[in-house]
Parts: sequence; structure tokens; C-alpha cells
Amino acid sequence: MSANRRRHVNALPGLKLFMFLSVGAILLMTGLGYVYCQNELHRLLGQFGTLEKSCKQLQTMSEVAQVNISRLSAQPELQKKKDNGFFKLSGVDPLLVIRVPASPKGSESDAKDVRPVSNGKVTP
Amino acid sequence: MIVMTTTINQRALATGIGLAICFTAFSFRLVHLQVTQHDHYESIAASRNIHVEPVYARRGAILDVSGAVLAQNEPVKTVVADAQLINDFDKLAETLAKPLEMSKAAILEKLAKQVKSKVSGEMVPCRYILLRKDLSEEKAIEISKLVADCKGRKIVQSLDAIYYKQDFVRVYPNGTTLCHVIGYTNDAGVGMNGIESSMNERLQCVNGERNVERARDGRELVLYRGQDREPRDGGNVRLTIDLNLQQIVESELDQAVRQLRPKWASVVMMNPKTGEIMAMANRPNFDPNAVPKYEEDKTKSKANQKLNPTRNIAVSDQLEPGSTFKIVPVSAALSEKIVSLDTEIGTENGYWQWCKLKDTHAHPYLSVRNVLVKSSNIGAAKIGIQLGEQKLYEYARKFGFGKPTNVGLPAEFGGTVNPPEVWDKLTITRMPMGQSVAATPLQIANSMCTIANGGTLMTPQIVRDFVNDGATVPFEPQEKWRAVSQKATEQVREALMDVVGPKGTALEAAVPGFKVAGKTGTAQKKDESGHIARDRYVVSFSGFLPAMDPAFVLFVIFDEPKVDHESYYGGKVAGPVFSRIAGRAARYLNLQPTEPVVLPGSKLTKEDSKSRSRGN
Repeated sequence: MSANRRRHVNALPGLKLFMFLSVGAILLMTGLGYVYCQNELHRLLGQFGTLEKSCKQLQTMSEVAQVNISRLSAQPELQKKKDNGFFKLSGVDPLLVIRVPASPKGSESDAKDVRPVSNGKVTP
Repeated sequence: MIVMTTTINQRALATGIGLAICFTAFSFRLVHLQVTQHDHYESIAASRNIHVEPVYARRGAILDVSGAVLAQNEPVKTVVADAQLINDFDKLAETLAKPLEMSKAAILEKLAKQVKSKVSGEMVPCRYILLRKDLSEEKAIEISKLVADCKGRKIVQSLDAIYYKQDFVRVYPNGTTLCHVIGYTNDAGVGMNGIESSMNERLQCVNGERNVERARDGRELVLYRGQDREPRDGGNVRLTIDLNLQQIVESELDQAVRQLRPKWASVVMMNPKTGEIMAMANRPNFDPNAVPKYEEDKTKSKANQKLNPTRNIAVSDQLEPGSTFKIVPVSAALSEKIVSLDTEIGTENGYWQWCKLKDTHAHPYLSVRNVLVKSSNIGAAKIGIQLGEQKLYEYARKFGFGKPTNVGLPAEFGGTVNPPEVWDKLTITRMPMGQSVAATPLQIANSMCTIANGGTLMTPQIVRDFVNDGATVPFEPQEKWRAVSQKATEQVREALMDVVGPKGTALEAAVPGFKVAGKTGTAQKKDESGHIARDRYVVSFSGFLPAMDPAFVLFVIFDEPKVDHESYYGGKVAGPVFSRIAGRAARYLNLQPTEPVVLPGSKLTKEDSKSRSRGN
């Protein structure tokens, strides 16, 4: 009887258990890692969204500033400022004006002047 | 023992089968929910959490030739209130009245708005209420701070009680300057006039769309963001207009209009070599930032109607060109070698009985040159008769009269040049002096460009290029055809230079330091009964400088200027305006003077002038 009992005592399969625990640990770590990565992804994308919003606000502010610049530097506004005495123009004696000769060939202004002309003729 | 084992096995089998059936049923249900009904439940979930948000695109800007902004977008906010999140309407209205630039009563009236319920059909309080449109970004920030303060004081339940929608308004920083060319847009951002309308397809933007999923607290889950449609910004349109030249034209035109009080006035400045329009202005004008509403007064006749200020007279109104048209028969006759510049024409001592034509000055004979210099109607009529009906008609067409120029501005009128088949006996004598023909100011300016550039009719051009996504699409100058021979244009130019001389009709159009070539025009208007009105004239001057190598052609016209009866001539009314604009434009363009300039208190010779221009 005792021999039988001794025979039925299960031997602990150490290697299998180790492998089982290892696989379990790997799966657990993978799962936790996945969840951590997901959380990080959400957090970083949340930051990305905030930054994107800030960029959009900056773009809007930049556009508003550009509109204000063009409005303030437009001729009607400058005229108003001149009329209000914000600045004044002083005349230059025509005798003091020296005309600068035309810009040399190949300059940007020349390049603009020599513009291609399409010769597609049509009849009147 | 065996019976017991059998019973256990049967129970185990039954349990196994039961569990299998159970799991199979769950599996089927799972497949049903997750696969078969997936789209249905996904759409239910999406409708709760996923919202379609617009991604705003910008309408393109309009720029002048050097890149100065003529029209652009300004971001603004539309302010919306969520009435369900407001605890105290009265205090909120009091707080927001100042930044919203509205009265407290007006805000309360809006907040108390009621709508008809779709379910019960009864009037119920409206939840989302539009408080204010086109609010500046600065004000929106100010309101956000005030709402945060209101939340602290429990006036509102949440910051979302007041929220904003992004919007854009079109801004024209130069106000009335160039208004007819730029045009304006309607509330929907669609171009309604000028370049805004003709280039609408290129300027137009298309908003994008993005699917956004939000958490319960309203935070966006960026991970689940999907973009359905990319926004497409409009392209920028660069005009051939130079804003500085435009401002010279506008300021001089304003001054002239104050003096002369005409019914309307128009100025067109063009580059004769390329056909590019450098400046274009009309009076009356308007501010595209606040477009006036125009309605015809049906009680008044067409002639007495108040003019629509949004109308671009330079391209949309036709008028008899008067003597400025004389360059057409004269250059045609010279080109056909029917006459030379010195051919003598009998001018009947100032009155031609046969066709009842009068000249301002009596001369028995005038050379072809002097027909232009003295602006002889009889001489021009006789040249027209020598040219013949068909040729005169053909040359009028060759100079671009009778059909739209295709400048690229909306509502362009083609003018009127009837074919010889419908002419009466007198038309051949009237057309050479600019009657029985109608043209737009742009067509008249373009005909002068043909003389200035050596005989080639160019297509007037208003758009220099179009820029989208960094790529530039240039609009190249286009020759239409050769209208007259180069030699003929040189001869006409020679005569036109004498027009702006001591013996000509437009000494007032002279510009110190430059040889100017040009032609006056004085056309009588008809009254309501169709007869020539004695005191109603359209006066004009069309010219170019420097005469030998023109930098620009300038056309100035006034309808019914209020001047005394002796001074209604084109040279006397439009000539001085031409001179002032051309003089300032020449200085701005840094043109080298071709003639000696005598300044007050100095004795400057031509050599001095040359040496100064060389910088010595």
C-alpha cells in the first residue's frame, strides 16, 4: 500500500513549470507593455493635439498680425497718420535729385522687362 | 464501481455538451454582434463619440505687381452660447455686453430666443444661440477670460457655455483704392465683382473634413483621428497693377473730380509693349470692405440714374471715343499708303456743307499731320472717305474696337462697330471723328498702345501670375495681331507729338522733361430725345511718354465735367490731369528725362540735363 502510494506521488516537472512560468511572464510582460505603450501613445498624442492646437492658434495670430500690418501700412492709413501729424513729409529740392542710371544688364529688373511674348497670331 | 464510473462519465459528457452548446451560442452571438452587425453598432457608437470637424482652408490673396497685399483673409470668430449651460442669463449678458459690442438688452433678447419643438410642436427655449458674427480674435480671447471668471462665480456651468466657430472675413487694406479691379466677395466668400469674381475658381478654397473621436470629458482621442478630406487653400493672384502708380492715379483723379465734378471719370494706364494694365481707376467708387447697396430709381430716366459705384466703367461702359479715334483712319490711310503725312487735305474753311461738319478752327487746307494736330473733323472725314467704308471698318476692328479685349475682368463690354452694310450715307464722315462708333475706355487706351508699340494690338493683361502650392503659373503677354505698319505708327507718333506742342490742341498735357505724344477727344452727348446736347460733353486725352520709347500709355476721361463753355475741350480738361499723373508716374518709374528741364530759378541746358542723368 505504502509502495503504491509512494509510486503515485507526482514528481514536480521543474523544467515544464519553469517554461510555463516563463511563457506566462513573457505574455504578462507583453500585455502590460502593450497597455503601457497604448497609454503612452494616448498621452503623447494628447500632447501632440495640444501642440497642434497651439500651432493653429499661432497661425491664426500670425494671420491677424499680417492683416494688421497690411492695414497699418496701407496708403489710406498712412495718409490718416500724416493728416494727424504723426509724421510729416519734407520736400526735396529738385536740384538735389540725382537720377541713378538704369540698372545694369542681367539684373532682376531687366529679367522682368524681358518677358516672353507668345506669338500665337489670330485674325481680327 | 462500474455503475458509478458510468454515471460520472455521463454527467461529464452532459456538462461538456452543455458547456459546448452554451459557448457555441455565445460565440454565435459574438460573431453576430462583431461581424454581421458590426457596421450597425459601429455607426451607433460613432454617432455618439465621433464628430466631423471642418479643417479650414484659406481663400487666396490678391497682390499687386510687387507683392503688396490688396485683398486677404482675416480670421474671425462666430460666438455661440449654449443656453443649457448658463445659470444666470442677466449677469452673463451684463459681463459680455462690452466685449461683444452689443447692448445687454440685445444679448438677453437673443438668449431668450425660442424655437418650435419638432416633437411637441410647442415653442421651447433654443439651446444653441448665435450671439455675434465676425468678432476679432483679440475680443474672443477677452471673452474666454470673462467666461472663465463667470464659471468661478457660478454664472455658467462650464466653459463650453460660450464657444466659438472659426470664420474668415475678406479684408481690403487699401479701402477704395483699386476697388473696381479687385472687386469683392459675398458673405459665402464667393467673388462677386472684379478679380475676386473672374479669378474666383483659382482663389477659392475648399475646407477639409476630419473625423474626431472624443472621450467622455470632451478630450479628443487623437489616436482614433481619421482625416476624410484634406483642405485645399486657394492660390494667390498677382496683378500687373503697381499700387504706387495706382495711388498716384487715384489721388490725382480725386483732385480732378473735386474740381470738375463730372458725372463719372476713368483713368487707364497701360504698358504698351506688353499690354499690362499698370493702373485703372474710376469715379464714383466704393469701399469693398463695406459694399454699398445699389438699386435703380425706376422713376428716373436712364441718363439721370445715379451711377452704380461698383461698376467698372473702364471695361463695362461704352461711349463715343470722339477725336481720340482719329488715329485709326489716319494710321490706316498711312499704312495703306493712300496718303502721306504731308498730303494736303481740303478742310473747307471749317465748315463742310455737304455733310454738315464743323471744325473748331477754319483752315482751307491741312496736311494729314495737321489733321491730327488741329483735330480737324472735316480732314478726318475726307481721309475716311479716301480709305473707303470696308477698309475703315476693317481697321477699326484691327485696332480692337467692336469686341471685348478679354482682359480678364467681369462684365466687359465689347463696344459697337457696325458693319458697312448697315451704315447710312453719313457714317463714313462721322466714324473717322469718333462718332457712330462706341468703345470702352480700355479699348481706347489699347488702341493708343498699338500706336505706341509700333503697330501690334496686344491683349490687355491684368493678371501677372498665379501662385499655388509654391508653383507659379505666369500669364504671358499676348499679341493679337499687327494692326498697322510700323512706318505708319512712326508717322502718327510724329504727328501726335505735335498735338502736345504750341500748335496742337493739348499743350496742357505736356510733361516737363519729356516728349509726350497724345490725342485729345471731345465728344458731344445726346439728350433723352436723341439730339446732340449743347452743354454735355465727354472729354478725354490719350497719350504716352517718352514719345520715342513709351514706358506707359495713359488715358483720362471725364463725363460732363462742370466747366465753363469755353473750356470743355479734352486738351483743357483732361490734358492737365494727364500731365500731372504722367509727370508723377515718370518720376516714380525713374524715367530719364529726354528734354531739358528748366526749373524755377535755374538755367538748365540739355547738356546739363544729360550730365545730371548720368550722375555726373
